Amino acid sequence: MRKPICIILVLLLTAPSLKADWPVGKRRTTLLPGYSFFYSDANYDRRWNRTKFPKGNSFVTHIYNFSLQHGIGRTTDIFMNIPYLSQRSLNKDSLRTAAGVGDLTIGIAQHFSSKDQHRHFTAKASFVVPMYQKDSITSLGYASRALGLEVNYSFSASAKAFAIIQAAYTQFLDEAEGPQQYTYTGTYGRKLNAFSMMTFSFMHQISYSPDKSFNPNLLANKSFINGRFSISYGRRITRTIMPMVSISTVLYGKNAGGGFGAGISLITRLP
Amino acid sequence: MMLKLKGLIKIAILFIIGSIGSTNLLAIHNSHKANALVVKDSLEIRILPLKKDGAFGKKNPVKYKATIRNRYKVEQEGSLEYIIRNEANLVVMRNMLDLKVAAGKTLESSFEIPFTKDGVYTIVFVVNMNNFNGELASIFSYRNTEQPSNAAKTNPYEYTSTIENLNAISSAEDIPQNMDHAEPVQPAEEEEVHEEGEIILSVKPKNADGVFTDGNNITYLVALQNKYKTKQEGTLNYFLKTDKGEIIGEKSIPIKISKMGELRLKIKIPPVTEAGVYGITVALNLTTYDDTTKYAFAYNINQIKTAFHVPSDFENFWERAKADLAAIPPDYKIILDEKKTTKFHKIYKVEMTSLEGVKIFGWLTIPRLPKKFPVIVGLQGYRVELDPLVYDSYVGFNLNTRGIEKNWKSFNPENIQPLLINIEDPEKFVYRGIYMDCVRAIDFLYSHADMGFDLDRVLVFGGSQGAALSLVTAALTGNRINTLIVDNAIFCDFHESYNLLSNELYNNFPIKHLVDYANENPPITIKNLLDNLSYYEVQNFMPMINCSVLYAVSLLDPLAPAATVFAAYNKLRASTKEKSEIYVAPNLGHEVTMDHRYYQLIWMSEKLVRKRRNIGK
Repeated sequence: MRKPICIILVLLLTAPSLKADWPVGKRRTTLLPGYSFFYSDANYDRRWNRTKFPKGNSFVTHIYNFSLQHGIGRTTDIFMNIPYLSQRSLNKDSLRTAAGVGDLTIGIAQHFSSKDQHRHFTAKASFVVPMYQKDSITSLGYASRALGLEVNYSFSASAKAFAIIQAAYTQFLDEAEGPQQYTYTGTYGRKLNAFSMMTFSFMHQISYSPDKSFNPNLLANKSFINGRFSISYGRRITRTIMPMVSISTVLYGKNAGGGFGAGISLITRLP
Repeated sequence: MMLKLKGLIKIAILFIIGSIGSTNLLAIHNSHKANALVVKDSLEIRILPLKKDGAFGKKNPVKYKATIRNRYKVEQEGSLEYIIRNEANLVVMRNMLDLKVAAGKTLESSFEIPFTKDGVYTIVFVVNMNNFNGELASIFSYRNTEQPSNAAKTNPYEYTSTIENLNAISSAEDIPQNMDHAEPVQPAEEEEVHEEGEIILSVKPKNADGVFTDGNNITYLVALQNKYKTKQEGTLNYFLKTDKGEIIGEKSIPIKISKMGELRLKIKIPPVTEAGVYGITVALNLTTYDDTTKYAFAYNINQIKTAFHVPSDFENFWERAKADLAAIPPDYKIILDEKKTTKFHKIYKVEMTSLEGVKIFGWLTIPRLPKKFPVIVGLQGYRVELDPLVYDSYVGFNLNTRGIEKNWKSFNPENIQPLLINIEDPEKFVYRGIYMDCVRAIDFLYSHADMGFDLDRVLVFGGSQGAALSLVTAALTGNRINTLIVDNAIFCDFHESYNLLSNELYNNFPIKHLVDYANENPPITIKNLLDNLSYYEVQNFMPMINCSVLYAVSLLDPLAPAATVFAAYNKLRASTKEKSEIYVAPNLGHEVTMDHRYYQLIWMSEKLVRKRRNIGK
């Protein structure tokens, strides 16, 4: 019988990503401190069926995230991301918790922009370093180093809108079973007025691995598929700071957790 | 719509404009018979939009094709002027092209109108050929299909209207332009082919910006496409000219192009040794097609130098002007404009008193967000009145100096060229006041930091006269400005502009007005005027500039001779040049490309990043 599952989906689920992929700008920096949580009370099995947890069971994870992006040139940025995770799994009579620093991601992005700055093709390479020890029950991730490659195309979709089409590949390196993960994301953003905007984002993620076994800790689960949708709203409160709130939900999955999340972050552009 | 001749008329002049589309054909007028064809001997003129519906945009620039068939036995010579008016009937652009059609020949020429502002416009073509004067009007629309200015706003970090603002300030000057001999005829690409066919000519310098450093290796790439259904034979002649218009090299190349064929040539220009700007005139004489187009390149721009004409009391002159200004209470009045103010921006009219007690005003726009904003100051072109400068991330301040129409009457009751007001006395010359108006605007900012101005970050920009004012303002205000964006600065060197008058391209504003004034007002001489203007030549201010400059030069600029603009740039201090950039447009007149506008946006963002040191010193 399947137990309630501790699920921590990727950070992107509720922690807003560094917005879009325009070059940050030479000598400019974007900081993105944020908090988000994800609440799960269901999971998707191998046949894509959604199953509610037994009454009283749940899983909650809190993510305190910090991202930074810095323009080292007009078209080249470096970036890093580090989360602090706190997870709480309530399973009938037992309560299991774990907390700690998750995966540190560092990387570089090269933008190829149209002359009018309306279209940007971006290539990214990143390296993931786990900041925790492996524990199959309460692990904060795969506890594996990883190499990430990503390409995306962002463009002004209309007078007040932009869109981003993104494909990413992540190869976890420390175990033969990987996994290899493919993530496809489409984002549509719309400016509401001079200071505020909304974004709508859909992400489809596939994780391949020879290891097809199911692990109740989905972070240790290497073979799964899921699709998520999120909506964000941001409004600038100063020239440089834009708080952004977001909500998200898992739409479908296979060997994946189901639930919803919410978050807030402060997009801070310096100077 | 094509108009045909009937009756006793031997030969018609056909004005055919905007043949398709109900909005396009407005009227046909000429000096002899309104709304009808006027008959002369053997001249047939057609002017058609290359896009039939007259709906232009970024992907379909405003292009017209003129076909002039001369059945006279004598050469026909004259001009074609186009005047573009907006919906408020204000002139937003005008330009003039030379026409010359040999006897029995047909001139077919596609010309691009460098117009990129959204809207619906009336375009009036005025044709003056030997014994004929006529004009007609048509409507065209322009829309950026990708909406660059608004689209740029979708970057969540850069809610700016930068492109719109840069365009608004740098264009639409009310400068009377004369014969624009340099207007390059751009070939129509990917456009419809008319029944008569045409020759599409492309002439491009090997170096895209038209700037060469090896005088022995100046090369042009020429491409010819024959859209006629008949073979074309003839010659391509080119003439290499100095900036003074002297021919220093020429060559004739026999041309044969099969019907609907193409021909590509690589032309190596005769070596040049002297740093400067050179003109290339390309004359194409083929079986059924004649065309003459003009281009330019620059050689060794870092070495383009002109003499300083700095009066011995130059510094003292401007110190006195600043002292005179300081003695006048500015009497700032900051009035919230309720009508212009929006939910997101407060817009104030700022009135102040400048030199000689003259009232001037500017538009101050402040985003409705807390804390401070970098400040962007716009300075206007000749006789242009600026509207508010609206940014979402910056304070905008557009200054209207005493040179605008609405407050002009007290200075200029007879409505003469502002450039000529009190020109006989440098102490009273109108630009002494105008330059000080700009200084007063900077004074205003520095005395109102509490309004949310981040005075560590101040950018000043302008085109044409606005560029001249920007450079002068930076020179006269010490270290109060972070960076400048200037396009096609006029007034760089009146003396050299006068020396270049033998090139008809430069027989234009401002130097033409000075010459005319001297001729009409003896015993005043042009030397007298040039001596007076020595106090006002922009090049004399260049060594006083400390901040970085993004500096645009167009090689075919009839108002700001490129050589004088280069030479002024070369008078910047080495330390200033080190942090500055120069941008060269080889085939443009008094304008810059949209690509450069976008680059200006990047520059603006980068240069406002770092705080300026030693503020106010």
